Amino acid sequence: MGKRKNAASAYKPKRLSFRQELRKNYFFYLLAIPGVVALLMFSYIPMAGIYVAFENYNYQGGLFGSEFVGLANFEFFFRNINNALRATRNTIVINLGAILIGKALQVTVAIFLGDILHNRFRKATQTLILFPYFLSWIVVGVVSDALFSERSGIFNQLITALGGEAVHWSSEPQYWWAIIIFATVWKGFGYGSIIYYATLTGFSQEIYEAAEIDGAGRFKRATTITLPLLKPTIAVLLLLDIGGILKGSLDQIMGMTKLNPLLLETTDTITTFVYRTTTQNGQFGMASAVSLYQSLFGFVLVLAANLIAKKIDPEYALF
Amino acid sequence: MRKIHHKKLHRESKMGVFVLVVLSILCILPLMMVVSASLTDERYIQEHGYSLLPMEPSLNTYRFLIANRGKMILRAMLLTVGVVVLGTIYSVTIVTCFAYSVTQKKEVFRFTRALSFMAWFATIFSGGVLPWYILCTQNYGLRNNIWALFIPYGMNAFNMFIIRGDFRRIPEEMFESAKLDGASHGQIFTRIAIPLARSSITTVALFEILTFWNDFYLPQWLITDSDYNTIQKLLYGMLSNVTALLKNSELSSVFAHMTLPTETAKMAVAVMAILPMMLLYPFALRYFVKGINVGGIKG
Repeated sequence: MGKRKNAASAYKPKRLSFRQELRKNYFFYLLAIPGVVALLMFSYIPMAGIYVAFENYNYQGGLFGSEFVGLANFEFFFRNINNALRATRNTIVINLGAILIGKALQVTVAIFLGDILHNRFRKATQTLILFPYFLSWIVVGVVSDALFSERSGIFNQLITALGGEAVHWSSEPQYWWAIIIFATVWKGFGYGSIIYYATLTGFSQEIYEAAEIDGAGRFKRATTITLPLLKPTIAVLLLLDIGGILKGSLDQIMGMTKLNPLLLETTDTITTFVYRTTTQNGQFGMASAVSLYQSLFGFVLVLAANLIAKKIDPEYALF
Repeated sequence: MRKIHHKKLHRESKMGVFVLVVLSILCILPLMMVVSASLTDERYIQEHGYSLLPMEPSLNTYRFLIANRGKMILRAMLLTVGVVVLGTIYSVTIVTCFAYSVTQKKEVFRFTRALSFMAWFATIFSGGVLPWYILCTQNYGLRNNIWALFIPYGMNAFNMFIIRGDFRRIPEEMFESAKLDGASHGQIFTRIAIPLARSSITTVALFEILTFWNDFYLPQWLITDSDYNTIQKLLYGMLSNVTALLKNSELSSVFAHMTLPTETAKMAVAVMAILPMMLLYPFALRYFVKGINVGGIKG
């Protein structure tokens, strides 16, 4: 069914030629220029720079003039595939853990916040739980230093006070998935909860009243009214997170582990892997291959996540 | 009062209150620990470990840092403040201008849709960090200078969508009547559009201040010269090798007998890195909720 043109649109003025339009509305072109330049410089030219993965990069040749070597860099990449796979595994485990636990906690806290009657108490809670969001990962690193220091850290003090054996946190990688996931959740849940809380205060109170009259308890109201109403918001935010699942925070891993080589088994993520290969070993070939792998795999994940969301309910899809 | 409460819907659950209180404490406890460690004598921590309250309060660490490392810290602070100011103005200007031009109808500005797409696509696909790093350091000259600390963060699509959302909510008639009064595009932009979108512009500015103050990514990739240490990079330096930063210098004689505050110095610098952001706190709740506007991101 084609849309019928209505009377108003029939009177639209004839479209101006590009030159006329430019003369008349040059203002909007000027306004857009800085943003376009920034996008080109820091997003689009680097996209073209993916080409670096197929050359033997050197300083003289630069990004687009170095010797073309085809797939040689990937040979190197696949020879070191274990490191790349380890980094991929760590990235996905850490991000997925933080996303799932974080979302669950955020929605729960938002529902609890919604149940609070005393405005002062709610405000105070919101203020306190938002606090970690303001800290840099380096400051969080200082905090975790004080918590996990072998000799003077709070955790080892607690463990020895309870009669246990002090743990060598900085040389035992098995604890660090949990520590990093916990830190991510801790830093972000306050902000997330406040977003969900803001969403659910917009819901009509009549439904809740009706449910209360029908004898629905608090838990029942949360699962049958609040959660279904929050679902689109949760889905969209979840989708954004899943799309970024291969991204990792360099700040976080550096702040919390200082790239401690003893912990790399569980803390080396794709981001830190690229950083290490680029800056520490100067293996540009390897780094470029990993970098390409990250950007392509990440892109595929975004598209896949969106496709799945669209299958479930077109309203959930981002695009 | 009681009765009114009973009439209200979904009364608070004891469990909910309990969980919220516990979480609030968990969020504030680490800060208490850092602050009290910075106020404790180094020897106490060496002997007894960290504690939640300053058991032997002392200002020795701060005195030591001011006397021996005052210049270094002040320099990092000033540089970071400079980066925050320049970076926030730079980024908010770019994003606001871009958002306004892509709010126009396509009859007025034919690249509206194309540019929106261009900004959005950059959020889901990137060339990876390596080409970015090579371009910044070798082609754009963004290495070991103050520009390297904010120029790469010019355009942020999410912030752009937040502001565009506000521009879109301005009723068409406002623009029409201004046009009839003979206002130019520039006047409409600065006198009508920007004032009406100021809450989202403030939100974005607050986000930018936080981003620039806490940023470690740009200094880590693009700065190798310790003259350009931001406060975060300085703190990282202390975290990874505190003795190197504190020791290799002639300490003023007053402090010669004192235990080198290796643990407490980190805590004190962390406190200095936290405090300025607390100034944002009064605005945070009001504005940050606007941050994720689901509809805005989708549109």
